[in-house]
Amino acid sequence: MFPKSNRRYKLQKKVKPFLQHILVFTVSLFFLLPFLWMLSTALKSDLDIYRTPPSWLPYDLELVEINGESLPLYTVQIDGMTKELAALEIKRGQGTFVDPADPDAIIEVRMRDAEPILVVRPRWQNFPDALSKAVRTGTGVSFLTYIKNSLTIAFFSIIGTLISCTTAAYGFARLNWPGRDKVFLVVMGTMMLPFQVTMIPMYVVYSKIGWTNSFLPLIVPTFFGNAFIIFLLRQFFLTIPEEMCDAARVDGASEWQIFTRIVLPLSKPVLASVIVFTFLWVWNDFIGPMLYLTDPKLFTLAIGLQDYQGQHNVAWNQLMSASIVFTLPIIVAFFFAQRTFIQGVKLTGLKE
Amino acid sequence: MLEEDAMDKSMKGRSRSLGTWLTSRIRRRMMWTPRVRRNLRSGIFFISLWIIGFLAFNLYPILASLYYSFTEYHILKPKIWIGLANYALVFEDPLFVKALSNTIYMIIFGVSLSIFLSFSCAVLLNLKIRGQSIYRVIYFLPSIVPTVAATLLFLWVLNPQMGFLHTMLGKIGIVGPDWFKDPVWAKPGLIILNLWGMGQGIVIYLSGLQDVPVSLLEAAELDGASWWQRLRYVTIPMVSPITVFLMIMGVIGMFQYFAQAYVFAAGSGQMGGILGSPLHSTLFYSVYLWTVGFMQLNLGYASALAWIMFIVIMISTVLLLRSSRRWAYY
Repeated sequence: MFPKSNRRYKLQKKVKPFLQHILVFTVSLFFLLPFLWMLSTALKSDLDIYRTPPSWLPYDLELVEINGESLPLYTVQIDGMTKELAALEIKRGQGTFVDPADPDAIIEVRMRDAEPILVVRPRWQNFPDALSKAVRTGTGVSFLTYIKNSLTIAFFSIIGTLISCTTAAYGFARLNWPGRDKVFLVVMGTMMLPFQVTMIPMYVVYSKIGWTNSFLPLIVPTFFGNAFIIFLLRQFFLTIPEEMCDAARVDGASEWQIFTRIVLPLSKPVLASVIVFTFLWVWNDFIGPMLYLTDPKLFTLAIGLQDYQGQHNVAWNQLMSASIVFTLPIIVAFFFAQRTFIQGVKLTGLKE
Repeated sequence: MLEEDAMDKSMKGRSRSLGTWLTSRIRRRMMWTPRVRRNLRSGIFFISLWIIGFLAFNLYPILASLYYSFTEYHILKPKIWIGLANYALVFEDPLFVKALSNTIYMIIFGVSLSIFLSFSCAVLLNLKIRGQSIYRVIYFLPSIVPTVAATLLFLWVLNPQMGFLHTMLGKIGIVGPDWFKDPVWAKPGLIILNLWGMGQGIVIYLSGLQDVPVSLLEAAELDGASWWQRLRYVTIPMVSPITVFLMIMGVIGMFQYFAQAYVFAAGSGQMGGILGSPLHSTLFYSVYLWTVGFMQLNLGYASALAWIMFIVIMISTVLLLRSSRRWAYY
């Protein structure tokens, strides 16, 4: 009985990991391919994005150097002959070509007899083009403006969150005052409240005091606490040994001194997490900026990108390169702070 | 502190009329030691920013939106008290029914599919294979792509002329649908987008799988349980609290589903697009709320919609938690 099943067991032991690996790999393609498609599109030339069937590699026009100028190469049919010519100018279906072998002779050909020669070449120029392109004519607004706006809001939100949430978390974690736990339940309760319920009255208030169409409605609330961050910080503060604070109290330190000199310096890792989360929320926030920002000069990247897409001819290559610029900071942050991300996911959803 | 406790106990024996209760509270306050008072002062000092924030950004808007929901309120016009009329209007509003049924569609198909597939992916990622940690990163990464970028990417991936998914389907003989123009296929398109970003569910399940006691699995194996039986009778019950959590988060998430639908609809229509297009097939609850509130500027009705949403979320959370007692193991 043993030898037989042993052989089967051995075979199974070899084949099983292989099959498992194939399965895991196949599923991973579903997650990976859209990223590759994004990158491939971002590097394509304008000509290449509208070709069907689409290719995975970015193609661009083959260029040839004539008299110090790079010109695109075409295969051209003239008098039944096929020649490779460089295009000087293309106007209304009529092309002016030169022969690279004989740069002085100019040949006029109808464009339907000419076919561009394509070679695999990534077009890195899409990135600077997409960023500096004026998204709306006449406003002088570009993706760089949007990036600057997103960064401005993120910067002030991080400062606001750090100030308001560290103090509140200290009050809930380190000070024993009557009613504390009941108030903390209220903090947790505010997490349950959907944004949609508070959105309308807040919009009315902000428009009455003239804060709409400014960053204020997006920044000011961060200076007054966020339940999730307070919870996160409180959990961390509870792990700091009480003896350290008591020792300082015996030495006559005030609570404020204990907070700034002992607790905060010990909390650097969790403060880094708070910075990462706040940055992620601001960077990703869509509904807030949609609600309050109407002037394209103030748009953040999240709404600026989608605005770009509503236009007649979507330049998908530039849109994808802008999307990569939008996504990259988060991917980089992920590789630097993997543990923080995973911890955040386990505590609540990462995206609000 | 000890005196306080003693005081409390002695009070318990006596009659419990409001008066004695009040005096006992006041007495207790008077008994607070200087240290307790100092702690209270500094406690309130430390949480003062949060208190202001709670009053201004939570309590006030909750009460205000409750009040608005009983009024006819168009911005810049005075509010008129109309009682429950906004709530009654819901039953005669075909678009509300449409928005609610679209949301329920997404909960029934989208959320359950994403829970089932997150669990399956977590099981795959828990296999001992080479490159396990790289695969974990690959499965997780899409979930941190900003929502708008992910949605735009999928508009391009699903593009019926130039998208790669369409071409790949074509190669195996399937003519892909026009995801943005066909009202039947718009929601499945969004579900595919959601599945791409299900990395959070995978991570949560994965941590749950790692917490399943090895001894249980080994005991089952010794008793001759097959791989499937161990999964069905040990692993799945052990991670059932996570399933409950993901269901609740899924329901809440679908009622708040907005950015993806907004960008998707803009991609389906010409020039800016119409919310909910094609043919109201992506008119989800939050999208409809947005349309009523900020496009029709009907703030009273929009507030009522927000409160209905809040109540529905609360009820479904309670129902899910209640029913889970029968099938989940805590």
